Amino acid sequence: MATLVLKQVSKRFGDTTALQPSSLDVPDGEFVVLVGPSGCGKTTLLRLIAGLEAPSDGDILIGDRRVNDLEPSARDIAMVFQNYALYPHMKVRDNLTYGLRLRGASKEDIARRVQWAAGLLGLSELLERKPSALSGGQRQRVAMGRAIVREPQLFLFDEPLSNLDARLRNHMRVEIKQLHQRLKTTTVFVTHDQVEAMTLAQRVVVMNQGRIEQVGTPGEVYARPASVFVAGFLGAPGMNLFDAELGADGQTLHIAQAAPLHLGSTLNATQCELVVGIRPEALAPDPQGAWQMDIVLREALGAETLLHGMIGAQPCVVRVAGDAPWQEGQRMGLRIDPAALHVFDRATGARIAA
Amino acid sequence: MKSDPLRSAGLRHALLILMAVVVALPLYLAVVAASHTPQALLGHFPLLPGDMLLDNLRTVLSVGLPGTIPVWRMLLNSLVMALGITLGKLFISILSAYAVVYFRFPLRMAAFWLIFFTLMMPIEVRFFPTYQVTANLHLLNSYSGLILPLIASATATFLFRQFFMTLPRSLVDAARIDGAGPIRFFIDMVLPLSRTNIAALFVLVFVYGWNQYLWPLLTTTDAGYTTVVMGMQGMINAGASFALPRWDLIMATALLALLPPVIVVLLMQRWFIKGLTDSDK
Repeated sequence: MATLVLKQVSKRFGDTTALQPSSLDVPDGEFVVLVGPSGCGKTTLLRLIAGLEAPSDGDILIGDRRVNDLEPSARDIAMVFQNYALYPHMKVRDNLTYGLRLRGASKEDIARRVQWAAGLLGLSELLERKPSALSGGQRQRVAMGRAIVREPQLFLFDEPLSNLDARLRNHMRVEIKQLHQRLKTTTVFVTHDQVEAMTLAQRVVVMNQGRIEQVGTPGEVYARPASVFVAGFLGAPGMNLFDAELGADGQTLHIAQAAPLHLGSTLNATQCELVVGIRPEALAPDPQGAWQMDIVLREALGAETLLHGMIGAQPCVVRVAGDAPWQEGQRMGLRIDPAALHVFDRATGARIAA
Repeated sequence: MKSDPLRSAGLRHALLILMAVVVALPLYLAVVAASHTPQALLGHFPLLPGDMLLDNLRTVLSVGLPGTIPVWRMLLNSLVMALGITLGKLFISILSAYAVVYFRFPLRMAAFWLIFFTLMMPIEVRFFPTYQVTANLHLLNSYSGLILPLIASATATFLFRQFFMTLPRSLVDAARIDGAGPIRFFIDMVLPLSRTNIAALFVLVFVYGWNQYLWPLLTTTDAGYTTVVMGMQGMINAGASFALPRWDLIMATALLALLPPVIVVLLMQRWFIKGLTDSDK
C-alpha cells in the first residue's frame, strides 16, 4: 500500500519525446487507468514507474520514497504484461514463486503465499502445469497470481486483457475489479480500450501524444472533457464534433449546412473559430427539431440503436434507446439541448468553459 | 492426379529402398572389406562379409598399423579434440550471443557484424595466419593447439542470437521485476530455454570437430596427437609401401571412426529434431 507521485517526469529516446513532463498524484489504494491511442506514451509512463526505463527528467516517488535510481526489483512493485511473460519452462507454481525465491523468502512463507494467491484466483488445480498447457484466461490469472504473491505496494498492468477474446475480457475485467476491492492495493492500469478505462478506473488519465490531456473520474472526463481529443476518444461511439463559428452576439454557433445553435448565455471566448461537440445520446429525435439528419446506416445493438447519418456534409451519430423505428434512407429531425453542448477552441483544442 | 506414379505405394517404397541402398552401399563395402583377410581382398572383391571383422577391429584398436599409434589412441585424440571444440564453441557463442542481444555497449552492432562477416569466409582462408599465431604461442603439437583456434564460431553465435531475438522482451522485464540480474537471467531463463538449440548445435559441432582433417594435419607432427580422421590418411600412405595393401585394417579403422558421431547423433536425436523443428517456447 503506497501513494504514487510523479513530478514533471519526462522521457526522451534520442530526438523523439515519448513523454512530455507529466505530473500525477495517486493516493493510497486508488485504481488509476492510463488510457490513450497507441503511441500516446502510456506504456512508457508505466515502464518509467516500474523502473524498466529511466526517466530523462523528473522524480518518481512510491510511498514517499524517491525510486528514480532503484532497480525494478527494489521498488516493491509487481507488473502484469500484455503477453503475460510467464516463464515458459517453469511450472505455474515456480512461476509464482520465482521472485519470492530470489528474495530469499522462507519455505513456509512461500507456501502460505502461493496457497493464498492460488485460492484467490482459482489456480490451485493448475499449480503443477506448464504455461503451455493453460488457456489464455488461465495464463492471465497466473500472470496476476505472480503479481499478487509478492504483496507489492503497487500493481502495474500493461494492457493485460488485450490478448483475450471479448467474452473472457469482460469476465477478467470484473475479476480485476473485484481483486482490487479485496486487496485495495494502489494500481496503475494501462489500456487503449476506453470501455476498460471507464469501467475499471476510480480515476482516468487520458493521454495523447506523450501528454496527459485530462485526469478525472470516469464521470468527469465523460461529462466535461477537457479537450477535443478527450471528447472524441471517450465514449463508444465518441462525441459528434462539428466545426462552428461564433456569431457576433456571442451566443449563436453557425455550423455549415445546419441550422445555427443558440446558446442560452454569452460564450466567454476570445476565438470565434470553435468546435462544438454533442454526445450521440444528447441528440433527441424530434420531428420538429432544428436539425435534419439523413440516415445512412443503422446499427441495432438490442438495448439501443445507433443511427449513423449526415447533417449536410458532416457525419453524425445518434443513440436511441431500444429498437428504433428509423431506417436507412429516412430523414429524421433532431432536437438539441443547449446545455448538452461542449464547446472547444479549434486552434488549441481546449475546452471553453460554458 | 490419379496418373502420378508416385501415388502407388509399391513404387514409392521401391524408390525409397533404392535410395537407402545407394546410401548404405559404401558402408556395406567397408564392412565387407573390414571382415576379410588382406589376401581375400585381392582380385575379386568378395560380395559377402567374412569372419575376420572382430579380429581386424581388435588388431587396429590395440596395435594399429606399422608406423602408426594404436587406433584407440587416435580415437581418444579425436574425442578430446571434438569435445573440446564442441564445448568451447557452445560456451563462447552462447555468451557472445547473449551479450550482443541483451546488453547495450559501445560498438555492439559493429561487434555483431564483425562476427557475422567471418561467416562468409571458409575456415581454410585463415589457416595460415592462425598457424602463425599458434606456432608463436608454442601450441603446435598440443591439444590446445588442436582445439582453441577452431572454437570461435560465427555460425553458432548467429544461431543463438536469432533464437534469443525470438524470446519476448517482456521476459527480461518480468525477470528484472522479480529481481533477476543478468547472470541469474542467463542461468534461470536463457539456458533452460535454449536447451534444444544447444543439443542441436552440439550434434552439428561435434561432427564438425570430429571430422576436422586439415587443421590437425597442419599443427601436429608428433604421432602421439594423430586423430583418427588424419590417421586413416597416414595408413593409406603407409599401406602403399607394403607388399600387401591392408585395406582390411584401414576399413576397420574407418568403421571405428564412424562410430562416435553416430552414437552422438542417436543419443541426441530427440533433442536434435526438437531443436530444429520445435518452436515451443
